[in-house]
Amino acid sequence: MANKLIEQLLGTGAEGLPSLSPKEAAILQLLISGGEKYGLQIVAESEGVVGRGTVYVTLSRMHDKGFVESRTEEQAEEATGLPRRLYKIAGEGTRVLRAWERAAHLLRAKVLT
Amino acid sequence: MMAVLTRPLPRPARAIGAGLMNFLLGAGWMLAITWSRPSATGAILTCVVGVASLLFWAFGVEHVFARLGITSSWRVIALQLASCLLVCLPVVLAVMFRLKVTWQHPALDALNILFFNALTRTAGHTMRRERAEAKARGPGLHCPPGFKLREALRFVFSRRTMEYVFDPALADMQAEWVEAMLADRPGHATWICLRGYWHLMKHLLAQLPAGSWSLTCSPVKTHRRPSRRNGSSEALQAAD
Repeated sequence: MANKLIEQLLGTGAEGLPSLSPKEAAILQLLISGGEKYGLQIVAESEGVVGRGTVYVTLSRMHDKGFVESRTEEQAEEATGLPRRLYKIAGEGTRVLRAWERAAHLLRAKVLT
Repeated sequence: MMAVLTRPLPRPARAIGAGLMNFLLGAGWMLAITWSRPSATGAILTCVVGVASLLFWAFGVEHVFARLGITSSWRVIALQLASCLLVCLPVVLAVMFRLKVTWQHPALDALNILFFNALTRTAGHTMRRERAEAKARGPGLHCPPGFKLREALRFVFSRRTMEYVFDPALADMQAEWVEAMLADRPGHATWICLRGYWHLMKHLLAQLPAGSWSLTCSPVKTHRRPSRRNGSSEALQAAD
């Protein structure tokens, strides 16, 4: 119902607007404002929206969709353990987030009027 | 109890028992050859398994077969010959793996996929190397938790899943663990460990269906169609 309304609001061509779950949106908003982050940093800063048990699966899915880019951290010589993975928002992610924010804005305006 | 143990097994169970023994023998060889490296330990391991299997075939096999209720020698020989392939197949596969040979015939691709994928992920190689590297870095926090678990996961899940799901989770857990240990808080480090494993279990359950598929079929190159959910750039432009 909401999707159809958004499609109507956005006009022709909006049928293929990429899906964006609330968790994905929260992650994108964190990444767009804070630059590169680790998985656990995202969990800590999302204030309960993203959990430890789902963050990496969600990030992996977002990587598949092209919303985020990632790289492994460069480790010092004496570092122990596996290198951590840093995530940052990709161009596609920014565009999708902006598109959904605009859609939400239009929807809100439409509902209020 | 003794009567139950000494009672001859029914005929299908005898055949299955004999086949299983041979398969286990072959599997032992396979593991020994796969794990052996150009090192003294690898050579000794292979020799020990080889000598044990030879002794078994020379002296032990008839006693075991007699225990199964197979007494006449021609039956023993027939069963040995019948299940000979079960010994040979894993050994041949392991030798081929070590020599980096694969079957080129398309009809045998299934075997390549099934066995070589499992063999290339056999736990042990990477874990030993990583632990040795970590140990060489110096005393103290040389071995954060999760390396053994990682090797077990590597055996089941694809490289991509490891790279994007399990490795980041383990890396973050290890980083937290090291921080806690450096702060001299071993209790908190243990808690981090337990919590990390619990959340890894959740990831594991989420990824298990994909993992069971990748265990057998990941060498097959698949061309994924672009998902409908991903949408199109035209749609984004329209939204903009």
